[in-house]
Amino acid sequence: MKQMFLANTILARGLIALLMAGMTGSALGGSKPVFSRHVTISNRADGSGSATAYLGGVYNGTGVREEFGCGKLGNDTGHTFFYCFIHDDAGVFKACDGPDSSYLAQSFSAISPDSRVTISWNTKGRCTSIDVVHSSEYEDKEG
Amino acid sequence: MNLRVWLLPAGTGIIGLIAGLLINQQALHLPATQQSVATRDTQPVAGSTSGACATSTAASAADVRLAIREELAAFAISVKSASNSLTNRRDIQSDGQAEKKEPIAATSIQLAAATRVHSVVDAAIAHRQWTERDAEQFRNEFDVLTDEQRAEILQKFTVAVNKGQIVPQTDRIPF
Repeated sequence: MKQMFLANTILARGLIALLMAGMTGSALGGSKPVFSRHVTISNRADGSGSATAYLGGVYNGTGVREEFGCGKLGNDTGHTFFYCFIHDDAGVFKACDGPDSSYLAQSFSAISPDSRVTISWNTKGRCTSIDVVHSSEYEDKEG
Repeated sequence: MNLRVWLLPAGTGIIGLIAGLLINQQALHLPATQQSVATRDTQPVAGSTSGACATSTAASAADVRLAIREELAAFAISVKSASNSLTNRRDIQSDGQAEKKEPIAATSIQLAAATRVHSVVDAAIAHRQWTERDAEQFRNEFDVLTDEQRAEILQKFTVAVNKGQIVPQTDRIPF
């Protein structure tokens, strides 16, 4: 009986030591938050909505059909339109567009392969906001 | 703010200021003249002093008239140039507004292209599909369109996508 108590005590102490070592290692190494690797779409009843994606995460993720991107349509008249296109893994498509002269086009230009992008659109399919965030916490595209 | 409204009081003020300064300057020079006359003559002579004063006053009045004439001429030139500048600016502004307000009329080529690209989108809505071929046709016609036509067709496409009326089958972003 006494031997069993001793064995349990040793086991408990070992577990506590292991837990503390793990916590110390984690603290020394810096935290690596895990962000979503999927496109997230929010719809409103009136047809407007928003979508968010960590572009690097989506690229590295397991989603087969997911995509999130923006592009420009221009010609030699000097006027350009930009558009954004979102496709989640459930097969839902969303899109929005706007003239390149708008302030949104400045945010559009800030999009990079590893940024987090949030786009909102109104009922007419017009992009109403483009938020772009760059952070060391976000993963880059791999492979 | 109308510049022409402010030019007249400003010009009048400048002329008044210059006239005042000239008169003041003459007034300051007057005692010095009297003093120098008195020093030379050793005995102050009332008649000579008043004569010097009268000559000086006549000269200063002529100077003031001349200065006012010059200032009025300069003022007239500045008013004319400001008026021309305002007229030009109004012309430029009205041209700019005309550019913004008046959409460029579509040519027959652009009207035909718009008809084709609308039919591409309409067919995609009818089939509930957006294929590579649709994307290619859309892109080819889109470049020809006016800005207004492009905005219209893009809106038609995006609204249809957001309503689920068009489901892209393409492996890429659909243009």
